[in-house]
Amino acid sequence: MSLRLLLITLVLLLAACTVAGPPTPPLRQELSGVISRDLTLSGEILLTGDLLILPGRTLTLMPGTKVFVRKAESSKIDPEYLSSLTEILVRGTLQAEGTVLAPIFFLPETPLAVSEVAWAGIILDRAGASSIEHARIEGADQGILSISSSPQLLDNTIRHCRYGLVVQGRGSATIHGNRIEAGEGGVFVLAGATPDIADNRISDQVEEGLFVDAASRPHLDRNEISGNAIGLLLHNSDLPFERGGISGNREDLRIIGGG
Amino acid sequence: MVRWLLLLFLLWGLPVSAFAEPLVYRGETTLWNDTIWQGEVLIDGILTVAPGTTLEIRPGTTIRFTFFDSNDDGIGEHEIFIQGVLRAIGQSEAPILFTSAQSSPHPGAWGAINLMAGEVASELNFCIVEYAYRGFHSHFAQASLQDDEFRHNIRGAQFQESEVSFERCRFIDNLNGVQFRDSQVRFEDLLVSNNYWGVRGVHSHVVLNAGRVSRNLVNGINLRDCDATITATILDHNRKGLYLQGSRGSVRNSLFSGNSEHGIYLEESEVAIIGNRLLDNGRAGIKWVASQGTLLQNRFDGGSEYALVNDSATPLMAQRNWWGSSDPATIAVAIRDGSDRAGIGLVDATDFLPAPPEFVLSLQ
Repeated sequence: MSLRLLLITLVLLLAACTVAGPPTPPLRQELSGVISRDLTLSGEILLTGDLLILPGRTLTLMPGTKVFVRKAESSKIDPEYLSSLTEILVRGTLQAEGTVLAPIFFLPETPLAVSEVAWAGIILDRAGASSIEHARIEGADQGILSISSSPQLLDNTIRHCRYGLVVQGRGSATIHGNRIEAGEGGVFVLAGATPDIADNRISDQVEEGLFVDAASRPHLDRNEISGNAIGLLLHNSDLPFERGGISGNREDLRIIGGG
Repeated sequence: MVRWLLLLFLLWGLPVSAFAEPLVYRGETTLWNDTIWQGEVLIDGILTVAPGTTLEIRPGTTIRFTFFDSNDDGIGEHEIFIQGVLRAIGQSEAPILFTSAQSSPHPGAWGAINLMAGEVASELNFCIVEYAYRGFHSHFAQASLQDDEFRHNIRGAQFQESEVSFERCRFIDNLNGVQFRDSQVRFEDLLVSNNYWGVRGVHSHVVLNAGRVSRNLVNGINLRDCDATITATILDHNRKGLYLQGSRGSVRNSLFSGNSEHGIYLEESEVAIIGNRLLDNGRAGIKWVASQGTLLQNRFDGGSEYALVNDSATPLMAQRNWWGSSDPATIAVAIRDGSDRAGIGLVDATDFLPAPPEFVLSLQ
């Protein structure tokens, strides 16, 4: 092929691209309401309102799924839902298992100021055996709230959420390998919870990195906690933990009350 | 003999269910005449009590509702609509029971006791209401509830634009204990425990005296844009004890203990907080965010990350309180304010009480 022919071919190809215009963004599937049968989703999803997964039902999100959440200005106080903000409420099962190369995103529909909250978060309320892995969660009031559930929460990144991760009540949540960054508070263990919290990195929280109330007994191991106002706050002096990974906080450790 | 015949004749004429067990209402039915229930009643549909009609329920009566779910959302839809007057007057030894007809019911297995726009106040005394979607529900109505128990419901009580008085009522193990908006509410000797949300109200006038709000998973009491008067109440072991948003009023002589996060959380509110005791609340006894008011003669007994957190840009006067110590340096550590964070107002606690003030309420 001569050089002239090659140049002509290239010009024609470029022209064809110009005629086609910019690529159209993939269509976002709108989603809200009650999930009363098993459902598998992928691609881009726009959460336009509260989502409730009923007991016995499973929502599966495929690797690479992007869930965008529309901000709700609502005064609703419906008890089916736990927040006045848009929430994903799981009373059945949520399988959101991304991969390193194809994480699952839960993001506000529109960009926010750093301290602004756009949605409630993922709430596991007496949920079935759920797992959230390699997900990125941003702009939520509580990135993940686990109430009396035993989810696998592995290798997620939770950023710019008011509370990164909250565990309340019975159940045995497994919280490993997560990064909880740049919120008001990192991980809160409340109301008699006993999660396994290991190999997480909790950093740059305006208030507490890891907070454990007097009624809870988590297993704490090999967590890196740095850059927070208070690194680790315990209300039990007899709770074992490794001090090695707690450094570079304004106050690394505070223990309140007896064991 | 004539007397017996006369008695038999009278009983025959009364619309009383005592001798017909159970009395069954199927489909959509309306009571147009005053009616008395006693014994067993089965509601297999939607029953309406017409305007001007009174439904009286005698002590010991059990009313059961069948499960019907037309839209597959798990919520039962069979229920009662009271457009007239309900007088459900049980006794302590013979309460009236509203429940599901299922053998193993779930919260939300039936709809509600609905009061709609009644001109005369309805009464529920010594009633037990369980497994409903909304145990007690009213719009534009008046009601007096005494010695009732609401348990295992999705919403124990919910009302809008209503005037409701609760005395010695208990809300236990519901998803929401009590929720309301645009209403006048009076609680006396209330118990709200082991719910997700305890008491949740919007745009209402609330008076609460001598209650206990305990072990609710989210917040004990959450009031937004309300006028609230709270006295002699215990709020313990909730996530947050009392959360006031955009509200006004007073909180006096109450105990806030063992709440996982905050005893009292104020946000854009104007409140007098006087003579309370706060201890063992996880993050702070009181968190004060963009609020105004009085903080006087309270007793902060420690066990918290901070006794008081001021997250407002404006200074806060906090005089004549006990801070768990009479050492100014120790008091300063117990208070987080502008001396710890830029852009936040200082707390003036210089005129502190040298010893804890007497306080009567206790968790015992």
